[in-house]
Amino acid sequence: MNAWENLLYGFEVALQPEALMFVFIGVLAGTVIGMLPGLGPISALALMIPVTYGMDPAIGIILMAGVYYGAIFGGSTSSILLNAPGVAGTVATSFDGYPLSKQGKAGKALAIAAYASFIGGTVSVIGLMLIAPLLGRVAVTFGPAEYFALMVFGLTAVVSLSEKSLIKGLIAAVFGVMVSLMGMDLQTGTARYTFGNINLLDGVDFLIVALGIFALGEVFVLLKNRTGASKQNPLGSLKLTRQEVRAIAPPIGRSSVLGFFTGVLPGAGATIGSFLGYSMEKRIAKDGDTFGKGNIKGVAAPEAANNAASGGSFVPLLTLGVPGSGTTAVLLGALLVMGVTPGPLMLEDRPDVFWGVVASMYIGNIILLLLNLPLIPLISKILNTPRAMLLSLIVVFCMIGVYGLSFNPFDLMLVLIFGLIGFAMRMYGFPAAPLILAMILGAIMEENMRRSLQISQGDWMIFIDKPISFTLLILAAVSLLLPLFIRLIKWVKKK
Amino acid sequence: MNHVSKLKPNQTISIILFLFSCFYLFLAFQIPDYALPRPVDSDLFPKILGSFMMLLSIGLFFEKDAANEKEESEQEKEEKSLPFWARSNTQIVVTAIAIGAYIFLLERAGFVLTTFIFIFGMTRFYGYKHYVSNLIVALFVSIGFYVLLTRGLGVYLPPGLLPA
Repeated sequence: MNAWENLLYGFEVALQPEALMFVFIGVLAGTVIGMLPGLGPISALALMIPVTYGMDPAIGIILMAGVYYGAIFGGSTSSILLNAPGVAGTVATSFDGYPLSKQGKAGKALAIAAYASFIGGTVSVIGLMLIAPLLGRVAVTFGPAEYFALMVFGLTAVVSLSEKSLIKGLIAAVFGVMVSLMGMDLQTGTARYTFGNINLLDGVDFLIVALGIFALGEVFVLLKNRTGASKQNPLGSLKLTRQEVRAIAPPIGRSSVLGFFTGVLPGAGATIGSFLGYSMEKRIAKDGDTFGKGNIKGVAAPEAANNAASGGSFVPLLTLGVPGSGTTAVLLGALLVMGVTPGPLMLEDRPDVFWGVVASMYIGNIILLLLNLPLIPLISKILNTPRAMLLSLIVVFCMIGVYGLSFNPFDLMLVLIFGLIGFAMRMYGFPAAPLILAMILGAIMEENMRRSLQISQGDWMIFIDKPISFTLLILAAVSLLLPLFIRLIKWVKKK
Repeated sequence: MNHVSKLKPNQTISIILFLFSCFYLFLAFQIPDYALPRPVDSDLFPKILGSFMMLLSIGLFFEKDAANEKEESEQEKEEKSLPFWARSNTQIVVTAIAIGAYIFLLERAGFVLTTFIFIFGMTRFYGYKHYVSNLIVALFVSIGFYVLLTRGLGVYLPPGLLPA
């Protein structure tokens, strides 16, 4: 089957009434959660995983794709309406989105965000369709040494791009790998770091860490920062004039392509994509000086790039089975819970899941545009939910999510512990994305490292002798050393 | 903590992490060997990780703190003007204890009762004063989730004191 036939097959899966219903539920829930202060796509995905228990994996992942897109759009909504971007990916949207909303044009900004997201999403789906099978073919030739090097690169890229402090990012990543090693070693049966507790023999489930750090931890952060309810500006009309459409079309096109390729790179993703799109348009536009004061292009560009990058980040996840960001790491966790292991073999073993995901991402986009946008005036009322109630409800959702998976109060205690760790990390500037990515990759990384060393009879040169693994390790080293090098140049210039 | 020691936050964290990595490495050396000799055993990766963490903690000790102390002191002043129970640190500690109590009671008193008390109590504690809407939401969420999960999705939740 070629790519088009495959995609048609995917649409067949995603257009079943049941799948359509779940995409809608996913998009809606994602929008609502993404809109809430402090909660972004990662929290939305983590909170929705329990809903997929026992579902057919194809449907479950369709639901998650909807949640993902909805959460990104929800984040844009709160950026535009309240100037309170829930996550870094939508910060660039608030630069012009919030000034527009202060001018009473919030509806317009939201409509532009939805159209731009839709086109960005479409471009990324086409890109995914073209690139994924090619990359998949290369990935089939990967042995354990290449996989190990790829994961090291993925981790270092996320660390070097995510936050200012390299050391703190690395600490978060190493801690994440440490957590993933807890429990019984599957190759030898040896218990590691279980402290004699049988509850820890199976290790710490990733959902516990994801909900603890990204949902419960956020509750503590919200308590500490006392983010109160901000004043919401009136929505205004959702309609765009022909002139406005003509103005935003080229920036959307450019930023979509740029965003997609940014998303494919490990570590880069939505945040960097949206900032790159914004600054590129600001430089190109004749009216670049009005950016930041409510220019519609300043909403269109980052939104298109943001969504295209989110689609692009599916490429390494689905073809290599290696997520390139915190969000796709949680998505990978969700897939694993449903018994689906993404990777080069998924294209052959479960084409229904693979192409179902691609098609459902597209349908998620359409639903976002057709159903969600008109509902925005209604959904935005969620922003009026009293903070006090919101906080206690998020805690209960975390508890239900974990208890429904393991029925073990011990795991709930772990959620509380990770919630406190997540809070401390936020307070002292440790990035959380490397932790969750490392937590997902850690055990697989170790397995691949040991397998390689077993093949080479303990000779470490195996990682250097193989050209692909050598290149990836060099890239990993460069990604870590580059920020240091830039800092050094700046320091020399200052002197 | 500042008046106890003159260490900056990064330095305090680095010492904690250093001790943690020592403990981690100590445990890594306790991991027993596998019966059959193999090129890589279970203890190798933890040893590498522990050493990395140790190096990173030393690096963190010499890293500058982000400059947000001024903002913090303003927030602290604002905090001190609030009554004890409304201060953010108090709220965080009480929330953590309340979650601990929730976990302890979940399987004893049952999901519906524990969840109802938690939502109603914590929402009130965070300062929401509309008792009626609080009561309605707490009842709706606790009973609604119980029915949805146990009857609809077949997920077990402890009934506790509820009649079966």
